[in-house]
Amino acid sequence: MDFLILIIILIAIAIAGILISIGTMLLPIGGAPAAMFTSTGIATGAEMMLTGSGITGILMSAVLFRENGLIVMVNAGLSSAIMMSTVMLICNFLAVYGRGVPPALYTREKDPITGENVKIYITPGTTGHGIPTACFISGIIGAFLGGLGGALTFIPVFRLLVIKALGLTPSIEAIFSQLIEVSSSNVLSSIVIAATIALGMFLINANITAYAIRGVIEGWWDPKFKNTPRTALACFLASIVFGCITLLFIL
Amino acid sequence: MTHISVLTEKRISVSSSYLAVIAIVLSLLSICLGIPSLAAILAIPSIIWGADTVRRIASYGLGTGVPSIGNLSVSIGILSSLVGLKYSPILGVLIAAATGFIFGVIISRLKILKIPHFPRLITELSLAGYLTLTCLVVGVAKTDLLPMVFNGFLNDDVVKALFWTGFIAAIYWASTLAIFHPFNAGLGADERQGRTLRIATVTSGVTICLSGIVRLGNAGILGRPWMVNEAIIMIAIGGLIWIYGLISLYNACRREAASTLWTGIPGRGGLE
Repeated sequence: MDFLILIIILIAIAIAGILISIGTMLLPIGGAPAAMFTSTGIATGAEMMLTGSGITGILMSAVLFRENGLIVMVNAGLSSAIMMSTVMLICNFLAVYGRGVPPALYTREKDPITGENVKIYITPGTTGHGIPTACFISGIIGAFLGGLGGALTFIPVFRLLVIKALGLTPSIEAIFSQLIEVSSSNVLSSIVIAATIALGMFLINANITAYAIRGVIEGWWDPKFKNTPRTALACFLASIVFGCITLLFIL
Repeated sequence: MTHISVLTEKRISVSSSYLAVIAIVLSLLSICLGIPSLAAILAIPSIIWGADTVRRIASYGLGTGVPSIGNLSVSIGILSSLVGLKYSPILGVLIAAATGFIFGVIISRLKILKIPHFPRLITELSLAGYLTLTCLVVGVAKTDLLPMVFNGFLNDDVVKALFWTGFIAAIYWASTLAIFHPFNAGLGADERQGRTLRIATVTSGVTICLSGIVRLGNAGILGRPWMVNEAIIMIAIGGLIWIYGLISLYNACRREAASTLWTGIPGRGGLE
């Protein structure tokens, strides 16, 4: 197989790692404190949230396996964003109507998007609660980037597996453009193998970022967001290592 | 004051190197022999080793909860296990160890996790994940009894049994749960290695039982009635290990909880 194609696939997987890392950094992760509404963010740990949004994105790209690469990526990102915004909406319902606390930020005096003064609503002794507007928008962008990254891992792996299985000639066009003369029963096992590999890569990158966050993050204004370049570099390198294993499996 | 020393000192009943040698030798041997039920049952040493490694990593405090390290271990394990299944189990072991070590070096050099000996720990973890996953995959999907040392076994039947049906997802999450759950359930101030590893026995019994059920399904899907025998062996032995683990965990908990050191009331509530 052409050496250039392998390099391009490796670069796509590494860029996907960076996208997943930045996407994770943008999500409002609340962890265990948020489950008691004593911290801003979604009430679960990073990896459970990311497994949800990652699986949604990968399922969407598996459903649209015949389409153009760009359409698949945007759709996967949108489906992840819809999933994550549903979670955030339910979380806010629970905070406001269940617990009776208004959404409030801790690290900023004013909401970075709407400019209203949200810090005065914080219960003394807690670090914010619920998901304010800025966290919500940050979370939507983060989930979109995460889904984009998941699809960008899925597409090259899946197309390469299909090309190998059907005996077509590999080229960049065949990897990123529309597949026309392929029936779904021929590519079922390729879809599942590619989804498994993409999920593995997604969880590795998401866990690196979760370790860099160490618990709670609010959005792009949080002091922990300054760790992003280092984390993105780690995800880039790890994705290249695991991308090499994936290519070894496919060839 | 002997009571306090019992509380503070961390008692270790089995050394990690001993567990590592046993797990690598037994699990790799069972994969290479290629007898499905034996391979599935000999996943136990790997699961126990993985649970012990999770215990050593996560006691430093990860900041995101214990499940993340189990996910990481099996995610590295599944990528190297695909290579191992396609080419050779021994190549898979080498790749799991090498990628685990490189990953550990990347993470500790970039100062993302500050845990001493992180490369060694993550190497052990990825090896344990690889061995567990491969043992269970051999147990679930292998359709013959031939040994496999320098050859893979990813033929059409196996692809159908693992990937068409989507059983790989069940195996993936079952191995993740088996590796991370023992420490997640046992962590706390008075955590002890023996008790955590007893929970690992319980989770490995559950996992083997689940693989037996999956193999039963595969026997029907592939239309090979003789696969049912091994499925029944796996379900029975997995169930026995499950019950044995529960009884031994219950006995250990009762024995250790019977010696009440402090009633919990400060000042006058202590035992005289």
